[in-house]
Amino acid sequence: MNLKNVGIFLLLAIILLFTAWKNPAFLADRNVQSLVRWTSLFGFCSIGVAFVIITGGIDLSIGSLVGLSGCILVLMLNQHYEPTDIQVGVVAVQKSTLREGREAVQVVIDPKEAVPKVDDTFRFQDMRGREVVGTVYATEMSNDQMFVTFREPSLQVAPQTKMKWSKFVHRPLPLVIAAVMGISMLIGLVHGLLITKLRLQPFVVTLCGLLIYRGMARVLSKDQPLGLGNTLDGVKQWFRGNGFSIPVPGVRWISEGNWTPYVWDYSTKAYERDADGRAIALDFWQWIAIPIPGILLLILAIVAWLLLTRTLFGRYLLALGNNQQAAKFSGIRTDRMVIAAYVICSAMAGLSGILFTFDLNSVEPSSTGNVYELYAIAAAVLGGCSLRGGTGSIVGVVVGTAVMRALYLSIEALSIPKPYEFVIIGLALLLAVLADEVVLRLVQANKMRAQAKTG
Amino acid sequence: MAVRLKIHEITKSFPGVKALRGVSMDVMEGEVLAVIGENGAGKSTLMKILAGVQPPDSGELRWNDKPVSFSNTAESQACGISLIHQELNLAGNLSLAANIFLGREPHRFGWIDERAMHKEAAKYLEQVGLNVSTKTLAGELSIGQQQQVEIAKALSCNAKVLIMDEPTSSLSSGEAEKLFRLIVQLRERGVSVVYISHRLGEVARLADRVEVLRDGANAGRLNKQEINHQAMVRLMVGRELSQYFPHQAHPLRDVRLKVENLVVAGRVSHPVSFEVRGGEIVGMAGLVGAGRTEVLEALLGVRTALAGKVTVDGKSYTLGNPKAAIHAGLALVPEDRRHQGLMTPMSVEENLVVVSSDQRSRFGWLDRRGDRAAAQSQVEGLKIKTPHLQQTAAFLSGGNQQKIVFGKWILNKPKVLLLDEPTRGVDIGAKQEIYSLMEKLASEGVAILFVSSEMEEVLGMADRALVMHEGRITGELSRSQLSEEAIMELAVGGVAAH
Repeated sequence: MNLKNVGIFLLLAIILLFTAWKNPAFLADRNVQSLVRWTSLFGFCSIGVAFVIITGGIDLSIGSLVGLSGCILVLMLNQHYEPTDIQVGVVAVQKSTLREGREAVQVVIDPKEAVPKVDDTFRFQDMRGREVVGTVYATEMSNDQMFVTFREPSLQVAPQTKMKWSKFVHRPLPLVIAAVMGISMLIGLVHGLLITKLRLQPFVVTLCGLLIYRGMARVLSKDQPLGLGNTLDGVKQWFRGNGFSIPVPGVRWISEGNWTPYVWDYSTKAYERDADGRAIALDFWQWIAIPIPGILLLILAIVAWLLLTRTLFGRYLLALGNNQQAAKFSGIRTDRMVIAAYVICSAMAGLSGILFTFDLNSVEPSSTGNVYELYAIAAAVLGGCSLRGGTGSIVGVVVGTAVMRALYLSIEALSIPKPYEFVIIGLALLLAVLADEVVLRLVQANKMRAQAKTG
Repeated sequence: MAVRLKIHEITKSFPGVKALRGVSMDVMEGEVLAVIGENGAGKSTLMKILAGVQPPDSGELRWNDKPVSFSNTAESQACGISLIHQELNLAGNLSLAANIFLGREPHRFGWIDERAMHKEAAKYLEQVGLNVSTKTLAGELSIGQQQQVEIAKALSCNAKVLIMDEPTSSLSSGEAEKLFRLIVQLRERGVSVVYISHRLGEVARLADRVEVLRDGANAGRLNKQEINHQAMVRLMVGRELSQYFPHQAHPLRDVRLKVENLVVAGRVSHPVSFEVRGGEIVGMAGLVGAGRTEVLEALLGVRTALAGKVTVDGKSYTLGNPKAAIHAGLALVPEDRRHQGLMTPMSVEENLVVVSSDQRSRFGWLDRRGDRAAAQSQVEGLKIKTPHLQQTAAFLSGGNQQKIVFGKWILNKPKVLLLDEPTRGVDIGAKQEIYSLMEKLASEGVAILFVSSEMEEVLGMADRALVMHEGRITGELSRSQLSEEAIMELAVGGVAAH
């Protein structure tokens, strides 16, 4: 770990502790988890752009590509109803109460005739003989009977009638994800080819990309928000959940505002004790569950780190970032390496778009992903990437992303009015970069003085 | 003659090195004082201190016997000292007049007085014998002409001491001649010229006195009548150089490199054909710009070849693809070490293994232990002076950097070694090591083709010489035919007298 990485870790710690000092709840489990979640969602873009920055390039199209890939994901899923010829008999009808407390209609059917899923519809004649449609809200199996709850509260179903079943279907998710990733990588390939073969400037190429992909997202979606609704509930549930837990030191003491580790009971003015008379202690180590996106990021970060430090590709990328001509003279196929870097960057942006869509359940074609490229670039720079190319560390980039997110969340936690948000983040970044430069110069000057004495 | 600038006991340290340890010398009025020394002897540091680029740690400068100190270049210029850098510093997109008066433009009410500026500039251009319009853009001039503009600029600052750092390093011989005449004129006008050069022939010809630096200290001084090649070399290296060129004839093996009708985009428009045998060292002589570098670069594939066929050991490879050329067994130590040879911000190890690590790698994974061992073997074998393998290459001396470039290719076991000015910017000690290395590789059967602008290097090291002139090979000289005159005649376009 180099000096720069230590610095960025310190900066993160300072932001977290300062905010927790003003508002202890900032370090409560749920807030720590939300920090990890957001860091992760943004982290994919940061890792991607780090590869491009290491080559000495830049990618400004990331945010637009996040939006576009989200749109393509939803559109390609092609959620629609597929009518069947299956007639389902209604065994019984009863009232039921939804989770939100609303009334709903529950219909009992025979699962041998149909096993409907959420969002499927049934067409039937209501009591007045009109054709009506009911959308499935929930299903439940019990005693060989299927209980289907409809979303429409005033639906009137008569027992002993027949309903026509329409299935709500979409294309298989793995296929759609593969397609979205393929399109993203193709976009990266085009960037790379334009930059290496036609020698266009990365800034210009990706600036055009920024406009084009945003526009494409709006055209494809007809500028309407695209939602996932209840589709892929299982995947989304998993994605929004947590994986394994890790012990984090001290956060419990801080977040409970209780720096003496024992629990103080204000009513009895004594430490709380258990049945055996021992003081109840707050655990120093708090087990915090890592959100799934955090685990995904961890895996990708490890892969990226291995790629950068343990493979020929990484070695060549750093070499050409330092000196493209010397790399060429050493027989490195610099064009291929640069193209690969842009493909990686766009793939990460595409992946990020998919994950943001899972997380938010919808895509706003005109705004989802806006300025994410700037967050990613800022995080990479904070993490030690030089825009001149040739240097960069994945650990630094991930922590850099965490710093950006921590700033956001702490502005919220400190109840600072929204309009100040960008001012504060901008100033904090400027200070961090300044401190980095100043410290570096001080260290160098010290070294020089020490050597002047001994030399 | 009076002492114009007295340099007294100047010291200066940088991280890791003591660049100057108490250097003293006098610059007289109207003399050419040559300052020579190996790379790293402290010449450049001393000149930077004189020019106000850096302050000294201790010591004193006296101008006309009055103590002076400069905290920036403007102050030293105001005093009368101008430094002409090895790399020229003109703004290519500005006119000559604008360049000469950059930052000092004659003005009235905040408007640049163009007419006065061009008039004045023309006067100074005339003084340096440059016959072009002051409205010409600096970028349109040749390197030699740009240098004249720099000198004109110095004169316009009323320079009394003109420091020239390696002024002929990128000049053709004709341009260099012009420069020498100008220097003599300046001296006659009472300007003191401090002349820094590696080219001892020029020094012997021009200098009134020579100051020799070694390891940041005075190693000796020579007066006009004492100046000769041997005396200078002795003072520079601190010992007599016996057997300067370790050349021996090796038994020649089969043809390893065969070039047929090669045409290169840019300079080499006439088809070039030649052969190099295993164990043979072939020198490529010619003036700067004759197309020698272009031939080497085209062979490696980093420059586009328009036509031609190249075979190594009888097998041809695709031109224009460095990877294929390297695979075929080619290696090129390029002319511009900092930009083409090394990734200077990266470590010694990374630089040494960059070509060969793909042979050790498995499925794209680096063999880190193997890489380290390979790098270590070259550091030991080539005696590369570095504290450790992770040292940043930029911090090494020119000679050690050049050894790294050699080392990275040796690790790839080349069949044909192409060398472009292999000893440029390398001190005498390292030069000899490089010559020995060439000998050793040749004795192992490597075919060596080297481009050199140093005549004595070609005479000393080549079994055979090819001479180029304006993009074509004008002649070929065997070792027995090699002489300075024969090479020169071919290099300026004559036909070899057989």
